Amino acid sequence: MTARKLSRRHLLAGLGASAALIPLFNRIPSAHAADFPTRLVIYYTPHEPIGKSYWQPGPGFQLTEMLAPLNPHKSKILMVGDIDVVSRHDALRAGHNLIGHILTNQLNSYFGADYEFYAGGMSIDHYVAQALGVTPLVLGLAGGTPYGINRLSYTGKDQPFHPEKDPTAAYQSSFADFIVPAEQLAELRAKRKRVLDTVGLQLNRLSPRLPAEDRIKLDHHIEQANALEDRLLNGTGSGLSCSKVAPGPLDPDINANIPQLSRNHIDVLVQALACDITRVGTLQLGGSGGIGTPQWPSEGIDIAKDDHDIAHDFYLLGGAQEIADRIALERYHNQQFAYLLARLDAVQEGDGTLLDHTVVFYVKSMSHNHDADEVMMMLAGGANGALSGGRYLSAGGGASADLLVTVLNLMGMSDTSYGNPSYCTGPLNVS
Amino acid sequence: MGQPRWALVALVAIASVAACVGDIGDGPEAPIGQHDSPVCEGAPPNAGRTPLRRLSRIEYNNAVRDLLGDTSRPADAFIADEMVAGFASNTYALIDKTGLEDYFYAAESIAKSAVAQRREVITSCDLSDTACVHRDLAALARRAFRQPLDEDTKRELFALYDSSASDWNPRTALELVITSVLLSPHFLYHVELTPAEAGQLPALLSNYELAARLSFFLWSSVPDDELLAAAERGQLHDRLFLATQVERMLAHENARDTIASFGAQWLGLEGGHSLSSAYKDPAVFPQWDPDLAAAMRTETDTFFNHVVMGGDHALATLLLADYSFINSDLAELYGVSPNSTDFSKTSLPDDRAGVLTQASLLTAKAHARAISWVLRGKFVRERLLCEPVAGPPNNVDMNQPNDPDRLKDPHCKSCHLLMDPIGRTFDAFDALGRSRDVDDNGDPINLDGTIENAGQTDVTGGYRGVRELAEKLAASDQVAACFAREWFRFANHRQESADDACSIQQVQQRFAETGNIRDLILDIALSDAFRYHHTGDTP
Repeated sequence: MTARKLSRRHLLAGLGASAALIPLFNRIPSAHAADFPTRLVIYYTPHEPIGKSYWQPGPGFQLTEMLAPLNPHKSKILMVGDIDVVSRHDALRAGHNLIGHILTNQLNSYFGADYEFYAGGMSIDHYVAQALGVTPLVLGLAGGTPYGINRLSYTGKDQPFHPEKDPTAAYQSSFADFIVPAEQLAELRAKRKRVLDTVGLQLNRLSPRLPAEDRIKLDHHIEQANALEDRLLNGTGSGLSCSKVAPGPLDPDINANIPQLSRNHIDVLVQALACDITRVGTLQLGGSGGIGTPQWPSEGIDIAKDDHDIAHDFYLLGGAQEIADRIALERYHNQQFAYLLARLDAVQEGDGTLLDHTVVFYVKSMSHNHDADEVMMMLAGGANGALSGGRYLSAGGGASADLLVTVLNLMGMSDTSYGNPSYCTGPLNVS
Repeated sequence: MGQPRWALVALVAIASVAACVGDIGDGPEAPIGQHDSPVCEGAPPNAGRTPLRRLSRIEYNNAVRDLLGDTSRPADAFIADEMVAGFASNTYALIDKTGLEDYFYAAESIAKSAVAQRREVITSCDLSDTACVHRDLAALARRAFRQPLDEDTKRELFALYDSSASDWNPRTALELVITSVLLSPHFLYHVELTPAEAGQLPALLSNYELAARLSFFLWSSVPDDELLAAAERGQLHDRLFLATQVERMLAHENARDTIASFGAQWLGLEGGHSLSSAYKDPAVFPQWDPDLAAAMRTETDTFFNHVVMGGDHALATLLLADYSFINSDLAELYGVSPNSTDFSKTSLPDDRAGVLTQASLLTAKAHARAISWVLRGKFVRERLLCEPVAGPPNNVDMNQPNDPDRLKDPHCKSCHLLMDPIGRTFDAFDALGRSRDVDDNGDPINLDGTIENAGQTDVTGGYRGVRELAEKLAASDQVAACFAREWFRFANHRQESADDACSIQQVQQRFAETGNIRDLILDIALSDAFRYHHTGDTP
């Protein structure tokens, strides 16, 4: 699909901090011939959904305790269970390392010892974004360790796309056009252009002098530098107004800030989608091993134990307290997911909401106790009429990659497989 | 030992793959091991290929400190360094949007604050004296790029300055030039362009490239003016002269960062089970907090620097010292009375032995409450004996951190025999490194241990307690060879390949005789692998 530059013209009746944002889009042809393009949000939370008895809904799509925060939105949620991350059977290491498989459907690429690996291919957020001609906004609190165990989003094999961990920085770089006063913007752009052009001359002179294996790195650097220059210089800037709210500054390395940081990330992404700064976003709220210590009483959870330990003690000790703690942890994650859905649903777009025009893909990379044979994921939103919620569907042991294809199809793409075809059986029918 | 020394190169490098049940699949290549011992006598110089590498975070921080006096450590906010074989590398992943934006916004910010607060570091010229400013900018860029500017680059930087001074003002022009210098590929990457000679033979790196390798190795920073001047005079191709520079730089304060950085990465205090991100159950360890973690790190940094820079430079001392450098918080942990509140040399009880019993290592290689046989045993097996242990099979229950039944279960025992019996010796120290008489379950501790010999280990016999273990390790040729290999990987930011075999062999031979770490560092800097460049192809 040819990448088509978006023409972003917005008229927004901003009303203040809690404004409903009202973008008006030029008619852009899409598979659904809708007034509003379909967006994709991928939402990742760490660990597993405990086990089937903890997430499987009761008759009439009655949600279990850990999923109860999603009740207000359940009519827009399609829960899918009994998913098997089939690639794990060929994996050198499964368990936590499956985070590399989950959006790529490829085996990991090990370049060093132990956990020194990256995923083996492009993740679907970038695949969709490329098709749409946008750059995905990848945000999250993914842990500081440099390993593939904390990376979800990739532009290709051995090409991790690191989540931006500071929502304020993400906001500033995404909305730069709108927050710098117009007269200053022109001067800032002129200065930046001069710097980047000077550096570009050096890059272009250097690259051909390098051996082929190294030239790839510099050529990729040149691509990224060009993309950066494009973003900095060619935003929609002057004369337009897009009402949005900057997140308050918060130290992204402090455990106590994690819940508010997560919501700030969600806000930045929702605003970016509503303002059509991008159409694809990935929220990675945790590495595969966890996000932090949930001592967050204002969130209704206060456990003085690292979330990784909470997950392990559920199996290791398995007493009433451990079980309650584990459920509380999952509830917390689902509270944040509910916040995302609520924020998407609060953006009016024509007769519907941003949520109606979005595919939200909630993923985990394990099922229970490091296994990945009964994974639970969710699709939420309306996908411009292509997705209906309020129900549970069993994948019957079908491949997780099938769900990736379903997501692509919901985005109007006609792919019949994704990643390694031997790990796919065909899109999961969600109609 | 009975074997000729050269044979140990092959011995120690063989991965203990055969000893472990487990799915190895298409994992990382084993180091040299699969090849026969090389014939090095009279062989031409050889070097493994060094892939193009980006500055690591410590290198970026130190570079902006030395170039512009910026001590704010901006790279601490960058994406964490990619690691290979446990050492910061940044050679595999391509730069991505977030990484480039990190550099971009940091460059703007550093340039701004340098011009506003430290202009004299950039230029002391009157800003209306363009020729003077040009000279100083060229000098700054030369230091930043670790090589003289080519005519095109120089012309472009001057044009950037001139046009910006004219369109805005000279201070802005300085900012923009510095921003562009900090975004240059010659700053961000370790560029080595010396072409290979005819065919595929490796070539001696140029003088400037050698200067950069040396300064980033020994100081984790850009070369100083003296080193650059030596490069300009072409002196660094003289091995003897190069040795004098190594001595000079090792004696300099700036070497402390590198020594400490090796120690922290070798012990695994950064990366996966890092010390600073270790979580400890506050009900069991109420004293665990970031300050205590920082203190443990300072202790280990100071100890390494003491031994390597100032002390007897001996690996044996690293392993056997009966003292450390601790403050009052750590003294309480170690159960000794503090010499002062500040870090000072303090004798430790005789159950302690060098790095193996330092709180930093013991804490990082443990869980929230429980100690870890695997993490402690694996450290000795992999980072002291250089025998990699395969990962666990998929779908195995990994909830029980210290399960004695693993040594009986046929699915588990072949790998766990390599780790658990060593790890158990460390039961005498809890998950915060404190001495104790009973283990996690309240049972008396059995200090007897053995290093299970998978066919390659030269450390034989039993031992009682970590100190005796340390004595065995300190006397081992295999451990010495392994330590030399770890330094090689640290210095070269990569795993060794077959082309490095002779360099490693030479380095290991001398280290086996002397056990002197300063000599080891010197030998690595003088080795062919460090001074020659194998480009792989011609552009």
